[in-house]
Amino acid sequence: MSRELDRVLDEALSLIESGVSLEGCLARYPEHAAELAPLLRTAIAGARALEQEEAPSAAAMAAGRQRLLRAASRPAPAPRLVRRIFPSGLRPALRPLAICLAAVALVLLVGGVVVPGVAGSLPGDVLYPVKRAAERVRLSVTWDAAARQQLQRAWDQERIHEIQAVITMGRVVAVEFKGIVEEIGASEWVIGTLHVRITPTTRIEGQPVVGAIARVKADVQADGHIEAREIVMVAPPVVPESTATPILTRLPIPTGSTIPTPTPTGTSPPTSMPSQTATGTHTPTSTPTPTRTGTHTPTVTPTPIPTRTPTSKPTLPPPTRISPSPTTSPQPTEPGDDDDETPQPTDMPQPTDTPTGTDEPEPTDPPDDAVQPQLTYLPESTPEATAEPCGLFAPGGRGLAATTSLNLRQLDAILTRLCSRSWTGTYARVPLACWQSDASPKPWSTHRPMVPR
Amino acid sequence: MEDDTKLLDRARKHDAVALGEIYDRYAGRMYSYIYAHIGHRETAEDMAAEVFLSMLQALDRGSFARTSLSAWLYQIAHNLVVDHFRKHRPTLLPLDSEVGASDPPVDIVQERWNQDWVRRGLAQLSLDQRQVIALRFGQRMKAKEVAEVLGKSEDAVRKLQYRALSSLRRILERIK
Repeated sequence: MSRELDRVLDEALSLIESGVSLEGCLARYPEHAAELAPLLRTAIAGARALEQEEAPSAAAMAAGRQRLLRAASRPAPAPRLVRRIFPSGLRPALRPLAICLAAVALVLLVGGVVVPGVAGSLPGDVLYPVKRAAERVRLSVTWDAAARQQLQRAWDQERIHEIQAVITMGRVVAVEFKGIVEEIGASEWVIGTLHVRITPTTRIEGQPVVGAIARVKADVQADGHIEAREIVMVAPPVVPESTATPILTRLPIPTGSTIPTPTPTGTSPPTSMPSQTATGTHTPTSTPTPTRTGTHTPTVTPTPIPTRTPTSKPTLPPPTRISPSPTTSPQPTEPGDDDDETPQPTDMPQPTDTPTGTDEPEPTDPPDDAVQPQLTYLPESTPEATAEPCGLFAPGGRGLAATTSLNLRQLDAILTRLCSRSWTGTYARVPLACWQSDASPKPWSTHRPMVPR
Repeated sequence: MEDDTKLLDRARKHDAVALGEIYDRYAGRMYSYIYAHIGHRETAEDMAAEVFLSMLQALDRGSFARTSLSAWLYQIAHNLVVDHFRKHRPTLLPLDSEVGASDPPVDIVQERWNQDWVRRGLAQLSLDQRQVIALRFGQRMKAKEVAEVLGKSEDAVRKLQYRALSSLRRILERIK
């Protein structure tokens, strides 16, 4: 048997399949006709025999389909470790190498050690894929959902920092990042603070909506523009719930000194437990006027929430409720426009509700710091609901510090930009403080708030 | 029509629509391929359904097709055929005694080419020879496609095809 005959046989079979007769086929290969003829006849016979199969019953085929769909009705298992680290799969030959690399990366990163050069690598660097693989390794071995989310946010933010860095360097490179769609223009979108050019070839998947989270594949051009190749909407906009934005409702945000804030003042000092009636009926004897500098709005109004039902005699008096009170009595420095009118308090912080309990509160344990009501600016139970300030969440702690080359000034600038957009600068310094002081990321609610800028 | 890669991605997440689409697209071919080996309708129907359950299990384990979905399914089907023959030895009739004796050919030329006779011949082939015949002539695949299913080179498939046809021819000559 020659290789030539294998090939000729295959060609002849293809000719027959395309409708050429056996004789016509043999005529094309006269030098092989004697050998080909019986083989081709056999092939024709085989094909005919195979065609004459018993058709399957429709009922059996439908039952097979139902079996499959029934089996699929249970939820799909979570992707395995290797699949999570290498989403596009691994060639078998590369598996040992990849496992070794992943193990080394795991030891280095989980152990808190960072390879010089890897952590600061940027798209286009040789070590950049190692950095990304190491991130995936770390993510894969982080089983706690909240911690995973926190890491993911940190790295999403890291991608944006990297892109800002490569733009500064004028590097032409393909990048990938995820961010909130902030603006949608005809030819340019703003996603995750980055301006992204839309071209006719840009593939957009999903419904573009401001506030949605989008994954972007793009090319950074030499002139610093980011040209999108693909934008995929991966999550709809997060509608903040009432509990998700307590910052705005509970903490008065300074609006600058140009708008005077009328503040109720009186001759008698405010009581420690003002009530609504007291506030409403007390007539100031002087005529205070709104001033530019004399108003001092209470900034913190913790509302004690009894966390347990008192059951025995108190060993200490129950926590005294701190009431909002002006710490200084503003003095009029210049007359207002309406001297003859007594300004009424317009924005007096009112206690939301008075702690109630039994007639004789009998806490079993003295209240200590641990059960003292804490200011909760972001709800602990739903950190994911605060999608917008995720940048604030992410940078705190060693994780990002270990994996970025950002200095504090750069970080501060980025945070300020983020915060000034969404939170009027209120929290710009909070993450920086966390950055400087904390060894590991913590939920924001565990940090003391900083004085707004 | 959605391509197989996207269907597989969705099937991995147990998307019923995607799984149904895959089944509808390939169940007939799987039945036909298995029937070519087994020659028994109910068994082939049952095994064709098994192909897709095996596919789902493989996806759940994190396996995925390194070839096309079509080639992957044929590979699964072939593994099931091999398993079947391990458990159930093919019960071939003794050719020399039963063929011809119990059913003497009236028109020898016509009879030789009847499907039972050829099927008996096919059953005498080795599994890989039968596989190449089933794919090449039963499923009407090109040598390149057969090569993908078998994980062999096209040259190797052509050789195997030549040997399979030569063997079948000899067997048919012998049992005529």
